[in-house]
Amino acid sequence: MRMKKTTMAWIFRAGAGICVIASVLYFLGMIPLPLCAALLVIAFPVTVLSLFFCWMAGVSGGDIPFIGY
Amino acid sequence: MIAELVLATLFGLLLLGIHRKIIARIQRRPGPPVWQEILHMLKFSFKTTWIPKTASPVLFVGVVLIAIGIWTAAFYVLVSGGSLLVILGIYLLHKIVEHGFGLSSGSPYGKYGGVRSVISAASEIPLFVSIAVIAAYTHSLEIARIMEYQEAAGPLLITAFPAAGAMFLVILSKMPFGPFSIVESKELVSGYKTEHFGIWRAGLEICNGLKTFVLLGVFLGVFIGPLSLPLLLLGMIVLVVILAFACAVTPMMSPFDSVTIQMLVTGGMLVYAAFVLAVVHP
Repeated sequence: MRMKKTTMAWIFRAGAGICVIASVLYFLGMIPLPLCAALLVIAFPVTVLSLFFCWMAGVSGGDIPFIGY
Repeated sequence: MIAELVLATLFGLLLLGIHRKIIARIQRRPGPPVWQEILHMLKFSFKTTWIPKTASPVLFVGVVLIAIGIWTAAFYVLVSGGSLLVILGIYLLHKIVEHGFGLSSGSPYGKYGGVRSVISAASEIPLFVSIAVIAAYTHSLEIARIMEYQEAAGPLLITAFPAAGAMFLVILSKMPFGPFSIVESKELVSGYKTEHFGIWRAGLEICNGLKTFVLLGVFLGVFIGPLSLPLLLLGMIVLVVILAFACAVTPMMSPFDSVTIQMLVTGGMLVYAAFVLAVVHP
């Protein structure tokens, strides 16, 4: 499986967006804590790993991080 | 909420760094700086990463996401004052996750580490009994209710000291370099973590930071009562100092000795729980 920096960047943006929006909506009292927590439980791990993959990946040569021999 | 989650993770990693530093100083070594675990997490996140050829790719990657996910859930259970049973469930789920880490890699070291994590599930049995005693005193398993009870009746650390001791033992079994840390014993290289390197290990470090924060937070909430944020953080540091002393002065046990001691503690806790249920709160 090969992943590109741009793909990882999009996944990171989507995950971080969900985390921030869920937090803001909870802060404004528009969603209950269990819903906010459920969104973060799903989005936070994906955000973290995609951030790491994103900053690890180079722009030249493509397909870094290298996954699999 | 995301800000609290990130800060809790970083503080948990800082606590693990303090733990390492104190152990080193007790053993007359300079030790790493206290922020070493945060640096570790960042360092691993910049390493080249791949999936070993012998690994099950879906499980290998998925288990890292699950590890972070379950402790994120535990953090929100703690924050919302939710059920202690959910924390217990997540605690047991973490055992399955550790097992998954080991099995997914295809490495014999990882597999042995995974098997040991199942063996060390014996350390969770005192936790069951602790929870029974807490329920007998407070008539609730909601962390928020347990804290309210302590506001009125004083800390359970004093009234149910053996239960606090048993839960302390459970936390001790989860700390690195402790007498019960058989899953990370050096004869297994890094145990279940051996083949999870680079970004996978960085994810695992995040899980460990969050897990440390949640476990110490639950202990303080359940046995001390409601605390302001500065006192909560101070309490966690004090707990880590005590844990570090326990880890520094005790050698790592063999797996069967570790399980034997934990089962003996469980036996003692069962007698105590029977006493509480029959005499104190019939």
